[in-house]
Amino acid sequence: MDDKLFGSATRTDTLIVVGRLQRTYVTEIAQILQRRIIEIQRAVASLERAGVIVGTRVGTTRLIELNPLFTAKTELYALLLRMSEMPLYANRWAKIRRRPRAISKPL
Amino acid sequence: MSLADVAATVAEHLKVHGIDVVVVGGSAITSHVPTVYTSMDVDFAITSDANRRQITTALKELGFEPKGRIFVHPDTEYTVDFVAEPPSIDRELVYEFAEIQTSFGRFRVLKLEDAIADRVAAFLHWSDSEALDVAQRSAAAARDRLTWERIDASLQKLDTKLPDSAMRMNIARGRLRRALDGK
Repeated sequence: MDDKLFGSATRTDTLIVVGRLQRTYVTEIAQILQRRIIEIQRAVASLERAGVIVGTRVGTTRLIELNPLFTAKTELYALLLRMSEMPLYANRWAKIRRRPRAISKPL
Repeated sequence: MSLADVAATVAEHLKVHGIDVVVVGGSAITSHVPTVYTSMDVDFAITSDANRRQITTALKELGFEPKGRIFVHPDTEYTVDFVAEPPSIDRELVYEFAEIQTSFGRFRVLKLEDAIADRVAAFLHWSDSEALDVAQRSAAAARDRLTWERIDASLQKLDTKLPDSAMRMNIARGRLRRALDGK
């Protein structure tokens, strides 16, 4: 599949990370994709302008997720989830924990 | 001592006090397939009447001390915790368990297919890819003693009413299928 499906490889990769993780932030995306933060910031800004993703500030962190009001959000999510399982991406998620951890338990 | 040894020691001792427990969560995976996932805390669900004070009294006899919500012991790196909920997979109560025998006694634990479904639940509801990876590797490691029918029956307990959860379930099913097929 063309890695420039969503305009550029960085935009495509960023969108796949957002889809896979559902809620994430620029630094995390940059770490997962091993790209510079400025590249991810530019991709996020352009995807926000397109109305595909939205950002919400929580404390000092700006959380990014697919725009729930985007017309084809469900279809887009299905595509991104499927793409995130492609060999190019599949191993990137294996160590990413998202489930809650009870207070006072060791990390 | 392994996690299973600690689990057996605690479960046998609690039983003497009339307290029945089941190992759940990540420690259930470690109990069945220790090479796949190393949990450093033993999560117990309680299946009989018992309150925190009774549990603390019993565990102190073994040398455990409460530290916040968990119990620690100077001779083991494993901590012990008691979850608030009865044994369940994604809010579906579970009544049948496996038993594991160790040289320190025996203990009840979620069946492996239920423990795998429990990991998949974390992927469905939290997008927790680490949990899905553990589920897949557990199925692969134990494919000689698992069947797709058993895993599928456990997966049926999971809530996939939301479209996003249903999509993630499809991913999880594909991965578990491939794991059982050795791919």
